[in-house]
Order: sequence, then structure tokens, then C-alpha cells
Amino acid sequence: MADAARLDRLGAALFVAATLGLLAAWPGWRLSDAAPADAYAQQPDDFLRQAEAFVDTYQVGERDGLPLVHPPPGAAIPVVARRFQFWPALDLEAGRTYTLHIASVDTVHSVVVQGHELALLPGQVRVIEIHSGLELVLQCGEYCGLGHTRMRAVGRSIR
Amino acid sequence: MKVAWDRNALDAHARAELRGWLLLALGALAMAGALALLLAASRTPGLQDHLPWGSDFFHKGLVTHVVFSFQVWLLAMLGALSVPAAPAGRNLGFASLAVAALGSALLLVPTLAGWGEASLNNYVPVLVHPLYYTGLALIGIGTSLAAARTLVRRAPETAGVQSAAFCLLVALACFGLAALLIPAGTDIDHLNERLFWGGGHVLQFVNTALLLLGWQTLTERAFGQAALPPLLSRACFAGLALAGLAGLTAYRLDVLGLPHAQAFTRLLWLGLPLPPLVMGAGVAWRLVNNPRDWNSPAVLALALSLAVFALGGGAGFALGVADTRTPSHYHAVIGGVNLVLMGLIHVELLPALERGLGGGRGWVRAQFLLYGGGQLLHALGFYLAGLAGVARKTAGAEQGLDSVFKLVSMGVVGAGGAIAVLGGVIFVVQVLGRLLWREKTHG
Repeated sequence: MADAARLDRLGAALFVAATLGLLAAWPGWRLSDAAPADAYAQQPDDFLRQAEAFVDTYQVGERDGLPLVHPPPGAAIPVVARRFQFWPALDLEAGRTYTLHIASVDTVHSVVVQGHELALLPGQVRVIEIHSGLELVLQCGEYCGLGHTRMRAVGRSIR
Repeated sequence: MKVAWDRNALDAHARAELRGWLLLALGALAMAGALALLLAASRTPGLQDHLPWGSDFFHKGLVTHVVFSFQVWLLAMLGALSVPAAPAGRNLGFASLAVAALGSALLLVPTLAGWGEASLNNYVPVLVHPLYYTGLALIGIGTSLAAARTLVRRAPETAGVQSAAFCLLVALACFGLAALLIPAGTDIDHLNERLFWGGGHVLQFVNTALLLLGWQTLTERAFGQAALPPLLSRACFAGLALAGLAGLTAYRLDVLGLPHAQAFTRLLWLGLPLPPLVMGAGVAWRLVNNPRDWNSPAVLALALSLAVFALGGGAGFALGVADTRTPSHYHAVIGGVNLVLMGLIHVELLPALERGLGGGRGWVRAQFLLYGGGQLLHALGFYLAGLAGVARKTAGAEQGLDSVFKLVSMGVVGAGGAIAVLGGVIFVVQVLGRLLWREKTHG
């Protein structure tokens, strides 16, 4: 009986220590609201005009009702995020590197791409370098309305 | 340590209050079921044109279906479980019940009148209408008042309810802080997402405390021995409360920013798994090392909730982004909580009201096997479909079921869901029948 009580005390102490250790490891203590290093400011209207000019230059067709662009490898590609699409559709070359400049022009979204999630606030452009595989998926990760789960773009790569 | 309460200790007032909370809990499930039928009708060609509601009823009905089948049901069960742990004096209990019931009724007004836009934000979806927010607030206030009265008690059997009560108060504080900190003019979808994000996460600590409380009580009833020794058991409940409390510090971050959202996601990863892991191991030990009566509702509830919750808990560590692995996780973990609450109702609460099983044991066994087995299939199918890339919250052509694997996985989802619903319907009908009409029987 005394042994059982001792074991119980030991178990509880270990449990409390493990809980405190897990809570100490919680990133919530260290996270901050500092502006991300990959962001720069640009008005949504200006960004939209820039993206439209890019589409005029590199459009090669249409996919799912969106203009399809095929920019050269290494290009800086403006991507517009808005309810409920990433615009334009992308055809990229497999194994090449591109830089996406992504910005929201209506409300708050986020983009999940190649394991990273970037908040997309209107007025702020986020920059991410991607290495194109066979498929590039852009997915909104912030609830933005009833069509939120449809806000997903699959860029196909050309070998 | 004795953790199950004395069924005969409740006086007439306490029994009346307990019956009221159970009627609210089961009424919420019945209403969620009725709304599910209307949702199906609103998507049925030929039938959908004859419904009094417009084509947007699907999303509005879905919102209230979710709120009744999760929030109202679970919080009303916390209200019910607070009754045996409450100090003497019942006025606060009845007042709390009345407030929560009024809040639940208010939710139905905008839903059935077609008022407000639906917002399918995470955790607590809403209709954007003042009556809906008022209803949710009243449910939160009513259930938290009922649960909070247990915090003044000092007895081993109250630790579980106290942990759930404390986490509920933290969740309400999170909702309040978010409401204060979100700037005016914020886009309504973003506002709802962040208003309910932090508190919604902390509500999962409430649900987990209910699960542990159920495991602890049913293990003692089934095997005459506790799942865990007393100090370790209390440490599990204290660990949940401490981790939930830590969530409040995330409000030093911008409520609309990504770091705030990520802080809560990581809090669930780090703060939630250990207590159910430890107590689940204790329950599994008792199940394996003691004689088991598979006709016993307590044993069925324990074994099935352990299996379903373990599947959901494991899936929680391997989620994708916006695919059906997410509903696999939350259907299974909530399924595990539901199974243990079903067990508590049959084994503890109905007998305390002298409305026990009587001759309905076969139906009880059927509801556990159907609901538990169905939930296992449902969650497994969702997980496999998500692995193959099927997006969540989509239907029809939007799902893009372009491979046999996806088709079979979603077929398993449908079959498992139908089986689970059948088990749930039997449970609701049987328990509501006992609460409303059945002759009194002794446990």
C-alpha cells in the first residue's frame, strides 16, 4: 500500500514535470508580430495592374476559366489572391526555380505552399522562392468565406 | 480512490435539474438530426424546390446542425455532470439551465427564419445575426455558471468536472478578449474565424476533460478499480487546466495575425495529448487485465471510445491542409468523447434518475456497436481520402473523385457515417424516451 502511494506520487511528479516541459516548449511564448522579412508594401490596385500586365505578356491559354501563363524560368511571378482563387493559373518547368510575389486584393487570406504558410494581408506582398516539381499546389489556409475550401490552385509543370 | 459519485445521493431538486440538462443535451442531438434531414432534403432534386426555405438553407442549416451536435450537446452534458458535483442549493443550477435553454432556442430563430449569412468558420460556425450571437453567448453563460459552481467543492470525484469547468471559463475569457481586441470594420468572415479561434481551441480542453472524466468513472463502474491512482489522475486534470490557461497569453499577439493562430494550433499539439495518453493507457490496462463483459455498456463505451479517440488523436498529428484528413481527426476525437458520454448516460445518469436500462439492453449494445464501428469507418475513410487529396467541405463534382482509391475511400466515409447515424438515432430515441415517458426503473 505504501509502495503504491509512493509510485503514485512519483507518477504524478513525472507527469507534472512532463507537462511543464511541454508547455515550456510551446512556441506561443516566443512568437511575435514582427513584420516578416519576405514582405513589402504595395497597394492592392497597383499589384492587380502589375499582375494583369504580367498575364498580358506571358498568357499561353486558359485553364478552369483562368488565364494560363508560362513565364520563363527564374521569373518573378505576381499571383493575385482573392475570394476564391489564386490568379492566374501557372504552367512552370519542372526542376526550375521561380519567385512568387503573392498578395491579396480583397480580404485576409493565407497561402500554404510547399510546406510554408504565409499570411496575405491586403496592402502587403509576400515573396517566396519555389522549386517547381511536377505539381505546385497553392491553398488558402485562412477561412475567407463559404468558398474557402475551393481556393486552391494546382500549377502543372512541364518537363 | 472512489471517483464515481453516489447515485442515491441526489435529492429531488438535483434530479429535476439533472433531467433538465439531459433533456437539453438530447434535445440538441434530436434537433441536429432533424436539421441533418432538412439538409439532405435541401440537396435532393425534386424535393428541394418544395421546401419553405431558399437554396441557401444548406449552409444555414449546416451551421446550426454543427452548433447543436457539438457545442450545445457537449456543454449541456457538462451542465448535467456538474449536478452531482455541485454544492447544496439549486437555484443557480436551474437559472443556468434556463439561460442555456433560452440561448439554444434563440439559435433556431434565425436558422428557420432564414436570417443572416452563414459563416462556416472553424470551431463555432455562426449565422451573422445579432440573435445568433446572443444565443451563443447565453449558452456559454448558462453552462459556465452551472459548471463554475463545482469549483468551490473539494472532493476527489469532482476533479474532472472542475477541470472542464475551469477550461470553459478560460475559453469564454478567450472569446471575450477576441471580441474586445478585433478592430471594428474587420471583414466579417475573418472576424468570425478569429473571434472563435482561440476559445474554440480551448473548448477542446473542456471536451478532453469530459472524456477523461468518463473514462475514469466508467472504469471504476466496470472493474471496481480506478483507471489511474489518485494523484496521477488529478495531475491529468490539472495538466489540462494548466495548458488551457496558457492559451490566454496568446492574446498578447495580434488576434488577426498568423502567429496568434499558430500559437493555438501548437498549444493543442503540446498541451492536449499527454493527459488522454496517460489515462487511456490506464483504461487499456484495466480492459486487458480484467474479466470483460462485452454486454456491459460501460465496457463497450470504454473500449470503443478508446479505439475511436486513438484513431482521431493519431490523425491529428498527420493532418494535411484543407483536405479530409482534418474532418477525419475531429470526427474521431469527438466520436470518442460522444461514446464515453453515451456510456455515462446509460451507466450513471439515467440510473441516478431511476430511469435505467430496464429491458432495453440489446438496443443499448446495438447503439454502441453501430455508433462506434460507424465512426471508425467514417474517420478511416476520410483519412484515406484526404491522403489522396480530396478537399474538405466539398460535395459532388467539387470533390474531384477521379480515382478508384478516392471513390472507395469516400464510399467508406458514407457507409461509416450512415452506420454511425443509425447508432446515434437509436441512442437519442431510447434516451429521450426514458427521459420523457418511461416508467421509473431501478438501474
